[in-house]
Amino acid sequence: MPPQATPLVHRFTRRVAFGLRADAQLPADPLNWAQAQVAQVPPIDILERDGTRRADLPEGMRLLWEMDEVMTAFHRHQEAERASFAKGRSLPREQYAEERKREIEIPYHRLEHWKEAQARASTALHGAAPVFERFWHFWANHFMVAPGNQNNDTLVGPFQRSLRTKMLGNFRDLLWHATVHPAMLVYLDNNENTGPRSRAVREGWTRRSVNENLGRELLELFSLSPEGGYTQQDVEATTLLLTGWRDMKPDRHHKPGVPLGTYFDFNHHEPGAQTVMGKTYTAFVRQDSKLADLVTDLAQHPATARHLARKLCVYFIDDEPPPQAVAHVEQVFRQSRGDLPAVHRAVIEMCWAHIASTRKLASPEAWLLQCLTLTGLDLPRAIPVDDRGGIKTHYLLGDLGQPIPRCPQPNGWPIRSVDWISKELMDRRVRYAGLLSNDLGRQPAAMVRMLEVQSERHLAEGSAEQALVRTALARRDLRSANTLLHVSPSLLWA
Amino acid sequence: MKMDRRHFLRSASGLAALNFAAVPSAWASADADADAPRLLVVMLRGGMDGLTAVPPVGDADYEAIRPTIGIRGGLRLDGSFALHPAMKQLHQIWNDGQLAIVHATGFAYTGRSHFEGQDIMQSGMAKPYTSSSGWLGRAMQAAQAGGGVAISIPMPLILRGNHQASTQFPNWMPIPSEPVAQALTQVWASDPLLAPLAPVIQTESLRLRQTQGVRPDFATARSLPELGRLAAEEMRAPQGPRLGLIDFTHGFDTHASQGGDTGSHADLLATLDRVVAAFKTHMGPMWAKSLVVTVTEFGRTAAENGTTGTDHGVGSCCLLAGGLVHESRVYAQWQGLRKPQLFEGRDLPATTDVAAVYARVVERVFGLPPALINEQVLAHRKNPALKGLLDLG
Repeated sequence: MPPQATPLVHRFTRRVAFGLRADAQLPADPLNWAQAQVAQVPPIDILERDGTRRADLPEGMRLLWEMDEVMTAFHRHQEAERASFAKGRSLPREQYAEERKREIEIPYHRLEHWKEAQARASTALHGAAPVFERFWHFWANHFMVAPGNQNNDTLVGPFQRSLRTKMLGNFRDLLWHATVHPAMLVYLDNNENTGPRSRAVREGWTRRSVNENLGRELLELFSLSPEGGYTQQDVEATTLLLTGWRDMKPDRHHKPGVPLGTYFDFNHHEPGAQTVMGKTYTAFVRQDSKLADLVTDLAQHPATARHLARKLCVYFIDDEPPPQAVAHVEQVFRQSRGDLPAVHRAVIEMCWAHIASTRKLASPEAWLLQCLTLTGLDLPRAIPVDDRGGIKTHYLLGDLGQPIPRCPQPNGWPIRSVDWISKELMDRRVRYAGLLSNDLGRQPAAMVRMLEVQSERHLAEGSAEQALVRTALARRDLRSANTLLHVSPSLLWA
Repeated sequence: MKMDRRHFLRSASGLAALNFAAVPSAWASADADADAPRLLVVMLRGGMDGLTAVPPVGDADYEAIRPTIGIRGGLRLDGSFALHPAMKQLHQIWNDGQLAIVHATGFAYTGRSHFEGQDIMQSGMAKPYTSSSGWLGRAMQAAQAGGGVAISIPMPLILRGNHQASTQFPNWMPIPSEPVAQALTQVWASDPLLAPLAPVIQTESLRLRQTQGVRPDFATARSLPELGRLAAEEMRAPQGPRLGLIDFTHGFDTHASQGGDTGSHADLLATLDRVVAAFKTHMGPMWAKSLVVTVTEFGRTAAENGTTGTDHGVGSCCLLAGGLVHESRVYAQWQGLRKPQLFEGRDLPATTDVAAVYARVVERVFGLPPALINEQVLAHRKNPALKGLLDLG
């Protein structure tokens, strides 16, 4: 057990959650407090402070969950893009821009991304289990699907949220779910990946062939990592195993009775056997069993346990995590056969055990959520239905350097502290803390109480940062006190 | 939060916060030679397809391996190569004798992973994830060439290792108040990673508070060509940074439907063309002392794949434009595009080590001796094919 010094316990609440509000009690048993939060899946929605769903959303705006609805929304978006493209040829430039904004930009870019970002942030702030949200952010980052390919904007949020229930199962099922989810198949182009000896090619229905995008990332990012020792031949064989796995949406190719979502199209699949990492995969019983068998083997491969244990520890503990911590998480991963709640509990236990000697810089998102939690302020409420002003949550995240959901590349947002440090990144935090100070300044009495509580909790007695905050408080410069609190090393790091 | 962004943008302090170039930057080196060469590095992440950017039109096999996405309307360079038709300004620069191209080039790494490749293209090391500094950062540190600015919010690895390098990106948020800016130095004093940033933010806040300049175009300020302009505005100043960096953070990973003369890859090259043009225009006379260089993690498969795109490969091409180029020329050890001539039967090989190209760039711009570069900045294989590259005119 690490020393129970108050700043360390609070560091732990910032490490595995977003800190505690000034009026919240310090958990009596911090380890248990955190571990209990990964045992259930908390509901997610666009929430008010009291945890209820926000009632003032535009008509019809809600999170989509059912695959039929998700694929229908995706199809509608693609149709809208096609119609807009056609208009672009006939309409005068300005009128076209106006219509495009109304038909595409506002519904499918601004509102869609705002809706999901607001749900993610408000659930982290006002939901039942912020520790769970932290682990969800990890997995949504590990299996990154970002907008920007094939008009996939409406697939991103539903995919990321669909990972939540899988976090109570084992890694194999999560890996399978993420790999064959239509959002992943579209994002990494696998819906076009076609076997060169497939029936569709042999009979001349298509001129398509292989596309390695998902095959490579399945091995590199999702499971083994390059340290697993796979070769280009393994990437090519994995790619062939993935041929024919595509999305099914309600377009003109959809046959009645075929479920929407993931579809295995044997006519586009490469027949025969493929060998990956020395093991040959054949379809004896079911045509689609080759990929399922490969995913099972990848999930159970020792390199995958090592990769994930290390990545979890870098994400939650330190850029250079203690080797014992990585070894413990890896051991739990292997012994429990990838049971995710057990793995998550092990990570939390290692965070707690090593809290005094490790540190992580909060990502822009985690720091924003921490600022709001500690001050008790709410997220920006403005909804981008039109060009009216007001800060929007997802744009603010972009201003801070993490424009969720627009992650540039499939390897996700950086997980190492050093990648979140630059003059611009830090300057933006100082400036944003200044904006928060302006908001808080409207209720000076409450602001003083909050500053006293939070600086005592988080800043070490006798430290320079504490002295600076106290000095500012003593001269009634509440705004500087608040800004300095949130950009103090203690609150930038957890 | 009630802050109205547009209202804020109309306010004087907001507009001042958007002005970058009116007075010298916080990181400008006091001892800078006003006439010293300037280097703009453009990172093209995702793996640029060298056979699209600079199609080998003289190679009889090119059309056969690129039936759908081959470039047909290329702008003529020499008998062997053309420039993609989207890069008209760069073609003008070629005609002015200021564009050098190295083709079939890349790092020694052949693992075809974006993320390992992007680490290597920045660290300049043989193996991924083995260095916390980048080759540009080390070069500037070795040359004691102060000042370097990444036009970006994060600090890319390629510039790390140079303690005076900084980042700059258009920002609408109000500058830190004076008491806060002053206290930062103390607040961050005990943190070695944060402490160096405090004086930069402090000086810059001071400068922005004094500046009455107006930059009314925040909505477009973050487009890549505008960032090219911003880089030039910083770098052309007599005390300005010697090095600038523009980061295409994604986009070149064209696995599907990459297009040919037009389409998605063409659009990226058109943007690159506009970045270079904006930089050239705003450098003004300093263009004569400038060099723009592209960096990408790998090239792509020589043949198009089954989805009218290209998969991860090895060799690509590197563009070098500016007044420091004295002869327009394509440097290439070209083996051909038939299967046995390709790397592992599929990729354009990297017959020229691109580290040797960048070593030459560093030598020319920062005046470092080749032996030191090889030891401390970029280990590389010398290549006779590069003879003459960036020689004095």
